Amino acid sequence: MKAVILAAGEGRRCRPLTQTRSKVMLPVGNRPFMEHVISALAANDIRDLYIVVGYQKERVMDYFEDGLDFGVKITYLEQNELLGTAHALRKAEGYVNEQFLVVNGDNLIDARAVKELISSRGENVILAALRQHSGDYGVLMVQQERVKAIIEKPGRPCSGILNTGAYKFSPAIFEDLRHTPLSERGSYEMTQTLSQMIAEGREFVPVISKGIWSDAIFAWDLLSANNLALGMKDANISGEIEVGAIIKGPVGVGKGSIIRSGSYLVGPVSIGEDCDIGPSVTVLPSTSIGDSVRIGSHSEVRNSIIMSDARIGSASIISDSVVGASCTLGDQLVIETGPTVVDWEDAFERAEFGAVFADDVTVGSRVLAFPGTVVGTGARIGSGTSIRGWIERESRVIS
Amino acid sequence: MCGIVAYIGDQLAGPILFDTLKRLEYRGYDSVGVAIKSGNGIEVLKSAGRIADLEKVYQSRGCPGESMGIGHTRWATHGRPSDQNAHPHTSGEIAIVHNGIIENYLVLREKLIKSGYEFASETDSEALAHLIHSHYRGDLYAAVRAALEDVDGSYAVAVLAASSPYLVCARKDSPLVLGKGASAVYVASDVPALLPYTKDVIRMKDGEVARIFADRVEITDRSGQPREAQVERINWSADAAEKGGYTHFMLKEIHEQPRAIRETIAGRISEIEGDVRLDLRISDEEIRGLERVTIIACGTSYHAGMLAKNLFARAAGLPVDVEVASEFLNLQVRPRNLLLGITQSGETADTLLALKKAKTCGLRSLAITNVLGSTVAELVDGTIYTRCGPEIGVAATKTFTSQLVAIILLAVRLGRARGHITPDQGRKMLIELTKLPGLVQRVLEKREEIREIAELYAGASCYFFIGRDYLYPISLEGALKMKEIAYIPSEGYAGGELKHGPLALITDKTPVVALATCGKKIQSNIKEVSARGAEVIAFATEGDPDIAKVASHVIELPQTQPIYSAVLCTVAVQLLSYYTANKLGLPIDKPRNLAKCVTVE
Repeated sequence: MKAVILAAGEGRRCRPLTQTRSKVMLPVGNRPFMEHVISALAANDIRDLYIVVGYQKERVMDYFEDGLDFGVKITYLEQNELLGTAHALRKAEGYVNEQFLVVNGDNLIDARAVKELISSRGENVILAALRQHSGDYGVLMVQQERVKAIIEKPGRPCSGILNTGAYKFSPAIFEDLRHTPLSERGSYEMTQTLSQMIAEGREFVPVISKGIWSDAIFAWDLLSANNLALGMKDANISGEIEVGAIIKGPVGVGKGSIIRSGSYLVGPVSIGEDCDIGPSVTVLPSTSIGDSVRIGSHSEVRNSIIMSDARIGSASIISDSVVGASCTLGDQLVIETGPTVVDWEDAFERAEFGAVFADDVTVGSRVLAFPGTVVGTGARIGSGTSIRGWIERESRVIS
Repeated sequence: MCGIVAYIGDQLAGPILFDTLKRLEYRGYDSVGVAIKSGNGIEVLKSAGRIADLEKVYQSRGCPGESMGIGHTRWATHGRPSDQNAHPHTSGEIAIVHNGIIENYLVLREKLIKSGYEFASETDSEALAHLIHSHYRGDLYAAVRAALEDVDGSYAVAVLAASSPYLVCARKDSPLVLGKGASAVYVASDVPALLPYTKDVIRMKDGEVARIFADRVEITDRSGQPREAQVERINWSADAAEKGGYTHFMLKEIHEQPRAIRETIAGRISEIEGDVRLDLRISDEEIRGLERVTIIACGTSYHAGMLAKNLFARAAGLPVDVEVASEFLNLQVRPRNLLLGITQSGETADTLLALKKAKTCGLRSLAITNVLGSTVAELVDGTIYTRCGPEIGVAATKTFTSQLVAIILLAVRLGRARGHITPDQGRKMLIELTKLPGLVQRVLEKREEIREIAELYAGASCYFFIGRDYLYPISLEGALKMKEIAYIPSEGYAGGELKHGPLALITDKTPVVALATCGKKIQSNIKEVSARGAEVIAFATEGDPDIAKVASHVIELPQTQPIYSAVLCTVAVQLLSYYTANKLGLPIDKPRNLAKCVTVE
């Protein structure tokens, strides 16, 4: 069986982290979302993958290349105009001639969920999840094991059977995709296609997953996906642990990394390659640290994602936070954590986290970040400042 | 990366094995080997070297063997390629090729040594060969299955035994595909290698073991339960997969630079000590005693050498001569002189010849190269490897920036050993170096801005590149790229040299690329050319307040130390020439008259 992975969109609500890469490339458990998707497919022996790329496609292609290192063969299809998921899937027309899977590249999914999807009978199958959510997903109305309707993004908190956006289709879908009407947003959306097919009386089988399926809506939601993803892979220590460093629980340390003496690490923690941690650094559970990260002495990192090439100074405290690639954070940075309300495009979102720094942010020393601080790509924060709220990309905070 | 192949059928196995290996060559080509059934035994040919060379040896021996064999090609990234480490590995009458990692091989090795096996190599694959042999009682398929029961790790493996009428293949977590021909079966690590022979392929699944006869394939799981082989008809072309979605290898390799730089730095720097670890095999005392460095290189590598000239002088207090290898006629032997050869392939004939001359005079020598175990490494005392992986595009991109990084590493090492820079100065340079991959990524994100400018001036009949200090070599490199892939006559000049002649060529038809991230003096040079009507494309540091006043187009590059801005400017001019050539519709990966590795003088 072949699979089409939708990976062309930006994932706008994960800004500012998606200013430099699409959501599929955001790391959870030290691997991009889409790598988890690809592993789940490969584990079910689905190795012929068609990935629809668009926004920041080079990042995707540079990482996955032709797929050989991931045990799959990847063909990239380009969607240059971002005209919705139905339009994206049409790019795969002519490449598949039997039943095939369609999955989002920016959700966390495990091999079990994929297996449930491929082993269910029916011409068209929808992978569903039972979940309470804030109304950001399509909800399936199910009668007698058939989908009777899809209610698109109700916009208020609800619980029920939500549409994960993973499907099994027969190639007949391409005919229906062609007839998908333009949505109010000016795009062609797959849920529209499906609603239209259901209205015509076509059968859709829902399969409610017992496997792992998770998504991140906003950048700070990555932390819970990260926690889930950390449990999905075995932790191996290939790097060097100096005498006097303590490791408890599942802690992975990649080759070339060094954990210096006096450090205290409690898993689940994943540390990439060529990192230099310590001396005397505390890393507490649910933390992912990418490749070539430096953390100076006496710092503490808890429940956070630190992306590759970031540099954290000495005596800093970072918890419930996301630090983008190539950030340089000075000494004695303190990120406070707690409940907060984030101003998102003129709406207010409740959340509880510390800070989100996009890529290439430079922070001086003795900086205090209040809960819910979000800093855009390339911003520079001067020493001795207190920061809060949204700080736009490339801005300078002087005092 | 490695590739494995196998063949069983009604034709001579050798030529087919070599041909399929060549199609896997983009996965690496530093050592290669084949094992072919021959009479009652097995003919094994293997060596650290290129496929074409081994093929010549094969032909010179009169194309031995019959219609059944296996082969392997390898690109070492850590550990050197040698004849011993090359596949196939043999044990008695059994030969195997293996791709993957046997995690428990030390345990297996110990056990096998106890039961009397002798190991010729350090590889995990050899342990697998012996393990299969220890289970072999005339039934190869049973022996492989039994051996795999003891193995932890990943593998794609093809096994040949002199007394077995069939081949055995197995895979777990490493790719392996079988191709069904009319009266033959082909095996390879990926589909493109098989496409010239057959379009009908079977992808082996994890945990499957296959018995392969010329006319049929029998697939089972490890316990021996038969599995149905699903034959798939391939309908895509041979070369699409290799470029990983990019239209040209050059563009792919430009984008691989953050990774190549990260790899070249990996494990070599110690921030805490402010020093660099390199296997130079020259003592600190000898380094302190050096009086001069002579650098020998050709083409793009020569430009890297020119950058080293300024850097070594500043960081290590060493005067440097840079010589084009083919013009290196009179070696001035000074006793405390260090020779440094820079060659991407490690096989550049002119550079090798010059280094040989030096060796006969007893000078200490170093090399910077991308190919492990290449000829140059044999000639010199110490080698610094850039870890880029194979570069396919003829125009050097990732190998050049990695050479620059290797030169920076060497400069810090020399400077620290000579006490010319303090530990703290070293530390600061290295901290900035670790940021370089991220900065290069940000330059790559300027690709659309650069593409627009490239397309605007693609019709130009002549291009000028100007830069000063560390950026002068980069202006030469920019002009070379524009010449070799866009076929636009181009000149690279030191900013201050324009007024001594070439200014006469500047008109409103000659775009001038000004590399302006290194000092303010270049701005007066920009004014000189814009006064003559030239359009100026400036690559400048972000936030530079003055540059927009003098240049027609400004591309802002991230702020960093001047030496590192040379790397950023390089990436920018690579993109500029790539998009120019692309607009002109030229054969970017294979420009006319040029070859990747020049092994003639």
